[in-house]
Amino acid sequence: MSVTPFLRGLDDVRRTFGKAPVIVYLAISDTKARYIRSLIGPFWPVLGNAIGILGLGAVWTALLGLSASQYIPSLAVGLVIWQLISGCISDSPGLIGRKAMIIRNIEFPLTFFPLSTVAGHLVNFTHSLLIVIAVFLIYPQPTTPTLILISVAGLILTLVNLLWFATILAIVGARYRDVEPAIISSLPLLFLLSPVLFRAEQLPFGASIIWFNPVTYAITAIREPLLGMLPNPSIYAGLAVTALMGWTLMLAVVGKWSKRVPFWI
Amino acid sequence: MTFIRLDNVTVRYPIFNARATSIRHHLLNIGTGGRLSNDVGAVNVTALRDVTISIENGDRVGLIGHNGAGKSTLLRTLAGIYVPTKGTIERRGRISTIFEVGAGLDPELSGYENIRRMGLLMGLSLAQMDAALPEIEELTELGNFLALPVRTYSAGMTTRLMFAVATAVPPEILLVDEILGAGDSSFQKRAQARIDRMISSASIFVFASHSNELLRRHCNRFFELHHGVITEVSSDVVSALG
Repeated sequence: MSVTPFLRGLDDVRRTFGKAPVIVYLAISDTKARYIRSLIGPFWPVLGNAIGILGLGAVWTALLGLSASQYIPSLAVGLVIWQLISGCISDSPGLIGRKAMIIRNIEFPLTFFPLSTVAGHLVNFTHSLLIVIAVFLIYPQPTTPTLILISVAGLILTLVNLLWFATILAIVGARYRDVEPAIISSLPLLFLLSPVLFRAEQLPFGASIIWFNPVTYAITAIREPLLGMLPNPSIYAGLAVTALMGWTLMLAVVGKWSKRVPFWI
Repeated sequence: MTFIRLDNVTVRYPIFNARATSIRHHLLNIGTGGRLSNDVGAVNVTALRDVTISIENGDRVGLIGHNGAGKSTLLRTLAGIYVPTKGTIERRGRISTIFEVGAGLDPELSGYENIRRMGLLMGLSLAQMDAALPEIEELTELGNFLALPVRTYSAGMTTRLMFAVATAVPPEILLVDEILGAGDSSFQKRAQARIDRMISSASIFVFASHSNELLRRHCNRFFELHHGVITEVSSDVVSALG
């Protein structure tokens, strides 16, 4: 592989970062628009989440025979992270098609679009954090400031990984139109294979297949420290290595294909 | 110094059919070595062929040619949206484009919000947009409509909004595809003064149109495109077209 596509991809990302104020403005104005349209705005999905946590919490604590004070915080954090991840993944394959009018009319760095998508979902995520805070007030967990910092590090690593993955999905999805339905229909399956309703540690020995699912690493890295446990450091190392390899791949893909994208839409 | 120089530019692109945009189909092809189907499903179109032109400061270029001759492709190539398959393009100057009605607009948001968004997307700052706002309000003549969602606008109103935003801060290079003719006659008259001012303040103006009257009024150089091949023609040719 020649180094030129990589450098072109790097240049694309550099120009996107130059437009960071635009991304921030769009994320804020989208959020504002949702507040204007309905009284509690972005809190509607949050309310849905809260009800989901109550319902799932009631059923699964009974089913797994766990105490609510242990299970519900784990479920709340898991669901909120899952929504961040699945939201970014399901929005990406059709992203370029939805932004076709901009791409065909204004010269723009391609990575701008996935970056704004991830930024938008991050705004939703911060709204949902209120549920997590409420749950943690009701069921206090033995976490410490250091562990919270480790959890934030896990979140940042997750976001960095989401960025490269969303970008590649966006480009592949622009070229192959059946990627979007394929991805969206496999998300519910991925949900069941991800440690959202349960914790990876609760699985019996032999269920190590769960560690083939990248989402397991993200959820574990963010959630375990909040529940007062320090996960295996190799999880963070794994996320960092994936981020590094993923970004290298993504920059090469962007450099090679981003200038062909306007012809595909 | 503003300029656009194209040297031997060829733009070729594939037009995919449903088969070519299916990853399932591609996997099948790889898996069977193409034995089940060798239909690639893509037709390559050469939209521009060996275009060598130099557009310099002060040029007002009119593009003529039939539908599908390559006018829009050339405009997008000049704007840097399409990258040449072959050849090189050199360009200096801030570009503003008016290609498609509704480009970059969010139909759910108000006119005011869209003005800010489009300005940002075009590379202007919020301060610049706020400074230009009174003039945009006046030119669009949309009044209270600016507070309503853009989806309630007619096509003419949308065009007025787009034109006002694209010209809010005079660009050095203005590229316009066709739509200048939209809007009712009172807007046309008001826009006329603005268009004339814009075109005279822009260093380079490139305009694709089928209206020979508009072309003659605004342009001083003319290029004819025919199946992607470009030739410079004199203004007499445009006059002769009627």
